Amino acid sequence: MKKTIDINLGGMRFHLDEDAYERVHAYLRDLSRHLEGTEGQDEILQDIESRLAELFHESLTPSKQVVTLREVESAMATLGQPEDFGEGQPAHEATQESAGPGESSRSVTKRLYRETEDYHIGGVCGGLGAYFHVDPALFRVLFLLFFFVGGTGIMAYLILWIALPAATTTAEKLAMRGEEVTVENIKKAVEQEAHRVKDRFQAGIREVSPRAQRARHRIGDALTQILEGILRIVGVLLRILGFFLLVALSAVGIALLVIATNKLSWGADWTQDNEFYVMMLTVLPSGMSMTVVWIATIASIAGILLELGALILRFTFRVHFARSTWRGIHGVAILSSLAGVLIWVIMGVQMGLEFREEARHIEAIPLAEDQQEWVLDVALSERTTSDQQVSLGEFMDGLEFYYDGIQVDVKQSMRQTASLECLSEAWGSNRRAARNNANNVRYSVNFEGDTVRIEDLIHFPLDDRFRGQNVRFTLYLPVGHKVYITGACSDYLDQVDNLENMYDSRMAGKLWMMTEEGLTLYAESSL
Amino acid sequence: MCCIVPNLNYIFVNMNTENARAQMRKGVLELCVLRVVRKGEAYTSDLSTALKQADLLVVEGTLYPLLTRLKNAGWLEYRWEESKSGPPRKYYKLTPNGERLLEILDQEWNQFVQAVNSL
Repeated sequence: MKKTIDINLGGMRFHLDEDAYERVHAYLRDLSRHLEGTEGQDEILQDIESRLAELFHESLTPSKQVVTLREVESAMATLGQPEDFGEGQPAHEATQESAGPGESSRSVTKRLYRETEDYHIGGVCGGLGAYFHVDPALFRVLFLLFFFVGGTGIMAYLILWIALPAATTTAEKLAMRGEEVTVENIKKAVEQEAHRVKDRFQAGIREVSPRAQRARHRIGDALTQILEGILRIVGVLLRILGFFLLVALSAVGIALLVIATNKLSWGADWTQDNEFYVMMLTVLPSGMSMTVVWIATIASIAGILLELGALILRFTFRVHFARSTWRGIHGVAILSSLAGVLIWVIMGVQMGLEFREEARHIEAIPLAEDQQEWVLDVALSERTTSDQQVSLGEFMDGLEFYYDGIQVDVKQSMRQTASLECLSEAWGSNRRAARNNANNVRYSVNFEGDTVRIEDLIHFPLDDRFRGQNVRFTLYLPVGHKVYITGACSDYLDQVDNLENMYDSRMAGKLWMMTEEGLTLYAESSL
Repeated sequence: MCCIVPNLNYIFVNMNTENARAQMRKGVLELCVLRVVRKGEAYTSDLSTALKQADLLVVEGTLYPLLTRLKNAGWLEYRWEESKSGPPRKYYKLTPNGERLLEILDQEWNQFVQAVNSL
């Protein structure tokens, strides 16, 4: 037993098997699609329906009242496949070929444009709204919000205003709206695409038997549907991602611009809290200002941002640049980045060259002759003792650079009296520069009775840059003298020779005595 | 190798002539339809039978868009006729304009054949 379906074809009633019905239905649907845009399309379809009715009628006999798949196939063989229906019309075929990909006959591809009808400033928000099928007000609010985040909104808006073409023609306006991104429409678009593929496929294998053809179509359809569906969803996601990337990129660009203007004007104090800034400032080649660093940084980053932004506009929003424009953007981006990197390299090399020669400056301070027992102490500045994390910047005072570049040592004196040797060391591009740098290092030591108190911070002019400046304090003790090394010294003791073979940090907080053989532990605590 | 090459050549040659023939048929189909109709009123299936016998047509479907276009252009006209074996049929005949056009086309066809043969 088989189920039949009643149809009305050219004003006549037929009983069709279910599979036969499916076939006829698909055939007529394909035909109507194929003839779309042809002159007298409806009339042609009516004629074909009438002819089909006639062919079916002829195949029926009093004992055979149902149209089966066999009759349908035979009628179709007489009439021909949909693509045969254009052969009498070279003109029609020519127009189809010249239409080219992505135009008229195909589904509309969505593009980002500026809205020219519903706009307030440049139509960017209107265009975005149309593109994402969201109320443009949402984008207006977003841009306004981003305006308060360092003016990012304005920059992003300007970029889009410049980059996006205005939707002036009807075609562009349609392309701007495209089709709503819903599951329903994705399905529709996929079906249309699959049908197109099918048409081409069919044209290619017309000689193959109808049954094999049908099987192939079914497989082809399923595959293309799945593939196209995935591709479309990925495309939509990419575009949304691209939009946010673009916003983020412009935010970074704006931030750089703000920092740069601040830097160049030497105004804001907050920059001194920036460790990178201070570090750069102190290691920069001498005679070079921070402006160079900022120019290099901005140039290299701006180049990358420009290239990225252009790529996003091109590939996710399908904004079309003229070839020359594209080449221009490319060139500017590469040149900018290269120039930035080149400046960095030059700075690096020059900086390295300024560590070529080392020089020393020695100052020996004689200590009181009548003393035999000493206290060696380091005065920790508030800056180093405060609990809160201190940044390098806080060590900078005016145009002097402060830091705790000291080492403390105790050695045997050849003379009868104790003395303190202060050895400043520094590097430079040549001997003179190095000596100059070493001479410029300032340190301070206080002598109060038996106490030698060394300040933990040394300082030198910022213009000298950081060239490995440090000061090594050596307390020279004659044999028989004692010294109490306070706990504050523990971090600064540096490879102090002693007979106990004790590590530097453990030597602090103990009383030591100088003997002929060297420094020995006298007592675990103070006198 | 020497066996495969001639075979391949044969296939290519065959495909090419097939394609060229299809193109030629396509070009003269309009003229052929008009000539068949000149002999007397014709229904679509009469036309397709005549053309198929002359090996000038492969499937009937090709005729429908062509007939509609010729009718809209004013070369053909049709009348309805009831049919025992189905819906009413359209019987096509030439309009006076169509007859004039056909005469011109006939001349052009003869010239065309001569030109091609003279090569």
